[in-house]
Amino acid sequence: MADVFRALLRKEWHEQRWRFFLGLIVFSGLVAGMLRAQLVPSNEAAVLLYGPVGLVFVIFLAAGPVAAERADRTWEFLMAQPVSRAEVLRAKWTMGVMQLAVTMLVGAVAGLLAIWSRGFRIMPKVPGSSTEFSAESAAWLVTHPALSLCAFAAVGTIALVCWFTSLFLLLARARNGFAAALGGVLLTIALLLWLPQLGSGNKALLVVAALNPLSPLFLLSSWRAVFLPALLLIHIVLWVVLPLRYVGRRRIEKWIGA
Amino acid sequence: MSNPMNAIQVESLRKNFGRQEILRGVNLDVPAGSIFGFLGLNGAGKTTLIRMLLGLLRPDAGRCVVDGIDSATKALELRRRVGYMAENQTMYGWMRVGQLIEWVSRFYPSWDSTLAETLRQQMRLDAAQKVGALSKGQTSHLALLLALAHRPNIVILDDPTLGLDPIARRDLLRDVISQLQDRGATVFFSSHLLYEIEPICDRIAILHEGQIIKCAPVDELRETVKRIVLKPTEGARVPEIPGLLDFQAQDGQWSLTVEHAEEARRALTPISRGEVLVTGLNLDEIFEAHVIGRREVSRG
Repeated sequence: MADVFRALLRKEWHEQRWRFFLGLIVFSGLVAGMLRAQLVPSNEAAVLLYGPVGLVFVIFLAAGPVAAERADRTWEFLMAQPVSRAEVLRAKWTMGVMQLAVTMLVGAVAGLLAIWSRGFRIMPKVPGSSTEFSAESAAWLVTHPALSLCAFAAVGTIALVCWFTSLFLLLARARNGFAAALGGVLLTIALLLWLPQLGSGNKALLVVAALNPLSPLFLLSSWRAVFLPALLLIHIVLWVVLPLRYVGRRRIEKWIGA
Repeated sequence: MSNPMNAIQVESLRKNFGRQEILRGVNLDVPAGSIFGFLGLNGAGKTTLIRMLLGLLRPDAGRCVVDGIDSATKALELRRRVGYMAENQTMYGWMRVGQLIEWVSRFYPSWDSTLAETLRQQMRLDAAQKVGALSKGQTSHLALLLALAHRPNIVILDDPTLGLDPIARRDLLRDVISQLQDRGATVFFSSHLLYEIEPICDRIAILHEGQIIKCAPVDELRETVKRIVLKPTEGARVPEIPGLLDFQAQDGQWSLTVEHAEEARRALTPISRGEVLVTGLNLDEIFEAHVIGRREVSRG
């Protein structure tokens, strides 16, 4: 079995490596470039990178693997081998997660190098302030830009893996890459637009926090960061463990189709 | 209960795609060790049935038992034991021939690397060539190699010569015959080109409009299905002929294709002005009579 999975992974690497390298170059370049040029303060840059930019990268990774095989008609050849659909999907998912994680890691290293090259002075002085930083931005996220970047990279990677898993399974039904990419964009936008509509009460906030894949990133930069481990755990169970657990079940097989 | 003498057994198989009925209660027995021709027009449902044999599609009703395994419940075990070549099989173009063979071998515990290498050399496939750069004929040979190298008891070939030129087709069929003839494997050969099946098969089934309309040994078909040509007497009516497959009347001459030739000849002799001519048919003509034969006869 392990031999079969390794063979599937090897094929996935060959097929998806161009996405990986392209994503790696663009993402690392953005992280390093934004931090080096001080376009935005480091914590906002991190939210931007691991939020919207990360989501674009997730769509890029999640849309291709199954849809491209269907469009090339190699999916039929693959399915005719004695491998289950669930096993093929797990191999594709594993490769996607590995590529996502490595890209985030390399992006963080590039960001650290950028911060180091500026002598760890990422946050510009606040005009008119007696201290170097405003009271609000004196939080550890600003005073320790390197540590902040590492924290955002770790939490951002988990958040993106969560959204990647669900999006990957939802888009496995698509018949070609364009339809999958469009579906990925629309689903992501729909989720992000729909969540704020749930209301602003405490209960609604809890639901939004649990459903929004990016909520751990926002939590990281607020006093509620103490709830972060619990929220990450909820996200991992809700977005990764449950969908993958049901991947071999008939309902998901039916959804993905022949 | 499945019969151990049958390599493939299909029972009351039904499949709809939306409102379209593709298979309408198909029953089929393929004896072990036979070379079985599965005929049908394009779109008759041959590929749908084959995909269900391999457990790639779930039937709406009925079941398929292949090599003693129910295809709906143990599809992976079944695919490990069956060799399958799809119509117009598309493989990974970026892989090299040797790389693809090695990759596919990982899925089959019974893979015979020596046999794979022998077949590759016999089929003159260059291990270093990219799969995407192979000709259609070479691609078909490679697909055949992949279907045979794990020494399956049952080989399912779904229109394997589709899209090949006549020479490539003959070349592939020669390889199919030479590889499978002495091995005692059961071959389930689906095709719409009957002349290519005729010399190979010992039994055929015809699928038409979602049902098996004929299943018999090829020799029996050739023996019993005949064309009868006669000039009828003035005002003669066509008698009741059991097994009438096709009737054509032209220039005062009748041409009938019938399943029970001797019986029909006896019924027609009294109304014939001269000799009743009985001629044999090839599989192509038998298939045509079964599938598009005009059975309605104006008896007035």
